[in-house]
Amino acid sequence: MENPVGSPRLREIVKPGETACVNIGDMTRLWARYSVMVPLILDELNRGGIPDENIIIVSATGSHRGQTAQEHATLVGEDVMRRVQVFDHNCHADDLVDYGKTSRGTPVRINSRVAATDRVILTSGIVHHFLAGYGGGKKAIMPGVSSFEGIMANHKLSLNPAGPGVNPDVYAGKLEGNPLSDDMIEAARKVGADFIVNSIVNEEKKVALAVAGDVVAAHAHGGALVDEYFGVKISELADLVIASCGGYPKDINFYQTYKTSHNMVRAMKKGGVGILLTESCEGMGNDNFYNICDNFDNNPKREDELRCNYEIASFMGYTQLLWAQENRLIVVSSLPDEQIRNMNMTPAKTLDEALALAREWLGDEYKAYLMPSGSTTFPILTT
Amino acid sequence: MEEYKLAYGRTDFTFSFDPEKIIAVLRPKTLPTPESEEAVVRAGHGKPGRLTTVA
Repeated sequence: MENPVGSPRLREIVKPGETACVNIGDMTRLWARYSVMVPLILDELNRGGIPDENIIIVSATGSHRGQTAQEHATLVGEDVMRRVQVFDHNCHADDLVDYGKTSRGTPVRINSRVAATDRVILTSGIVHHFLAGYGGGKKAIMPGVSSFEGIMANHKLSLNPAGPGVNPDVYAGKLEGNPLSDDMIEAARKVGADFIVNSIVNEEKKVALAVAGDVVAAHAHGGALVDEYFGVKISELADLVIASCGGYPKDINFYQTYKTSHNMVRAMKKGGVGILLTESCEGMGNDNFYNICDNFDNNPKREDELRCNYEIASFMGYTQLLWAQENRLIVVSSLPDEQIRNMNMTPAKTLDEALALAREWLGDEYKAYLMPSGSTTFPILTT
Repeated sequence: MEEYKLAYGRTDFTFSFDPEKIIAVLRPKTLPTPESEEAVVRAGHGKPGRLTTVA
């Protein structure tokens, strides 16, 4: 916060007597460490002349459920709860404030409490994100405090506008030219987000790095830091990738395995073989993720469903299926074999069984990558 | 052949693999462990002096 990117310090932006809103995530983003960031932001606003009574916190729940007071306290800490009021966003509220549409036609209707304040400060954590390029930054406005219709319109940009499949410009690590990210930035600019404070969290779940400043410039800087630590440069793609999610709880269910799948196929030749190690002791983990694969008998029907009733888990399930259709994926898990086969993958009970199958498919001439921490290893092809 | 280990649930799979077939073992770098999270957020990882002023 003392070294903002693309912006003056927060205390230099605000004016005495103004009102301010600090956007935080919800319980699904507890790992971002709002309880560390928010007290420091409140102190900085105080030094800029905005007292606690002029500040509110809004939990940018997107389309997620509301939270209890106890959950708010868990997110920001008891001291902050005593200083300022905390509210949940409701994407279906009647009083959302209209900011028009983005250039892509996404309606920008925003939480009325956020809209009513003079200054808006966004907090979150930055990780690779399969839709927005990177989590954090502008996402605290769209989807964070936006209308359900706006969120759906924005997220549908993940589908290929020119034909079947996924938009080729929407993937983790891509900001420039990512239409979904650009759309989110437009929404954040319309609302006038003034400043961000974003964390990058280590394995011990502590803030290891942080960026602050302009919603675009500081976030991009944070994305580069995420690439530096989680990105692994590779100069060629492999015939075979053997990827572990990293063990429990990262492989608690197959839904969580998505991140490892996503990273694994980035290191694999098209049509290659991937072995996924995911115990998935709690099963599939999300009905929509599985049902988009199982309830429809072809991809056009699946895409029709997504275009009519977009839902993130369904989109994830569909892309998981596409990877399985484009490659040969073997899953070592405790899931029922039928579920794995219904997602176009091949089940195996042990790694030895999976390796034997891979060798049968590939013959003797193949090259492989091993990914022991597949969920947090982001291969970046450099050629 | 060499032995490798990969995590699976609360246990590991150990397996033998020809190291000549392995291009690389891909791992992320380890993020620093700060003494104070608050100090990290205060100081941040911006570019002091270069981007602190916008036109």
